[in-house]
Amino acid sequence: MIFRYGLWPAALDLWRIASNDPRAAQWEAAHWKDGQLIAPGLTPLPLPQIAARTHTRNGVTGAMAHGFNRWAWSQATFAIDGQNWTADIDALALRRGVGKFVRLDRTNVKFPPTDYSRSGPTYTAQCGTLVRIEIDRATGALRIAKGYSVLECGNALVPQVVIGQAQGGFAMGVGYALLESLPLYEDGPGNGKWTLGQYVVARGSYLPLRDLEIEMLPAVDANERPKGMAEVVMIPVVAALVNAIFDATGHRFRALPVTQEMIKGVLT
Amino acid sequence: MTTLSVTINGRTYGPTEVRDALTMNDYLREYLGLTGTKFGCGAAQCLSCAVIVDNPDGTSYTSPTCIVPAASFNGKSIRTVEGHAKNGELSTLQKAFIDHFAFQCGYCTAGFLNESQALLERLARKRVPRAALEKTIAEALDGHLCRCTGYFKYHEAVRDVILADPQRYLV
Repeated sequence: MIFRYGLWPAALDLWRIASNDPRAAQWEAAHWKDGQLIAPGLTPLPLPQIAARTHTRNGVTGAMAHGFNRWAWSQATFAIDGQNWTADIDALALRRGVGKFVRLDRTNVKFPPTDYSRSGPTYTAQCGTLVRIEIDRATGALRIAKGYSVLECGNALVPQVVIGQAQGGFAMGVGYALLESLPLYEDGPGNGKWTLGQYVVARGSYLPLRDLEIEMLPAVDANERPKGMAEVVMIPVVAALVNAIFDATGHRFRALPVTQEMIKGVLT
Repeated sequence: MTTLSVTINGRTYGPTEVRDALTMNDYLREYLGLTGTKFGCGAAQCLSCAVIVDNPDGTSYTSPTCIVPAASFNGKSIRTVEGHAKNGELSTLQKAFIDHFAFQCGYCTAGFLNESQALLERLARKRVPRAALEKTIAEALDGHLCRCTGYFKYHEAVRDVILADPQRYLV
């Protein structure tokens, strides 16, 4: 996306090739070599020069896409710069220049038939999480002020249990991200002497007991079968927390758990 | 060996001779077959094994059983998860746990039930302001570990029981 709708039009600009020139449609013939864009019969252009022109002409500088696969990919059409562009994705957002990402409207959305699930691959639910945290500057203590998880698990058999699992997954994710350490070797839990005193898991007091919202999306289509969702509800909680800690402190932690002591150590 | 007499859910057991090292958890589960009380961490850190101990003055408290000798319960009166329903009718709290889907695997449930019941009775004796309720519930239940539903639904269930009868529990 960035090349086709950002860099390539900027390169045409630099080459002074008009959009109705046949060469303007030959982006697939171009390639990169040593940081330069090479196209048949044209002057090689360095990436920084093309990137700068992309920014001045407010071209595409960022792209985010979402796809879905069930033996075949979902598909949709997006209108970009007056052209219809169809691809194996079902959502697309673009950023122009240094602007914000803007989600594009889609048409002709097609999801592979539910029957394709019989081809063998199994699918789990999708889940994403957002958290709002507060960190005490003096102590590094972290408090989760609010949590939000959104998931799609097909047709939920017992919605209350799905919500319960999502809440429990949130609690487990908090433990995984902030508390639970299982070191290897003689001093670790493998020595058989550990209790919950060493292996610290999340208690109620670590959680936003009144401020966790779980949003269960409707199934992708009416025939969608139920999908496993017991583990997935924990995974994004960890990323959300570590990203929130990065937002708050400017420090990117690369190992888990991120304990209060570690957070305190990077506060200035 | 020690002689043990204990009242459990209103019924007296003993006197019986027990080893000094026998835990109350083993006594309940292995000697009496009262397996509703669970054995969890074995270190009094998860409280799935907690029971209610009733004092003669009408007050009560909860106690773990996994690392506590059975002999130390001699002469005491306790309640376990088996004692909450009366004549096959679940208690208000038990119904609330079910209505809220508070538990899933159920391993921590007996401990949460006993702790929450003790809390309700404590509040009935000494009511708290509404503003203090959330903290009161949170502190009462914080010793108990849950790995399925992550506490949220237990707290909601207890809160609902209290808010459904504010004159009884709240100032």
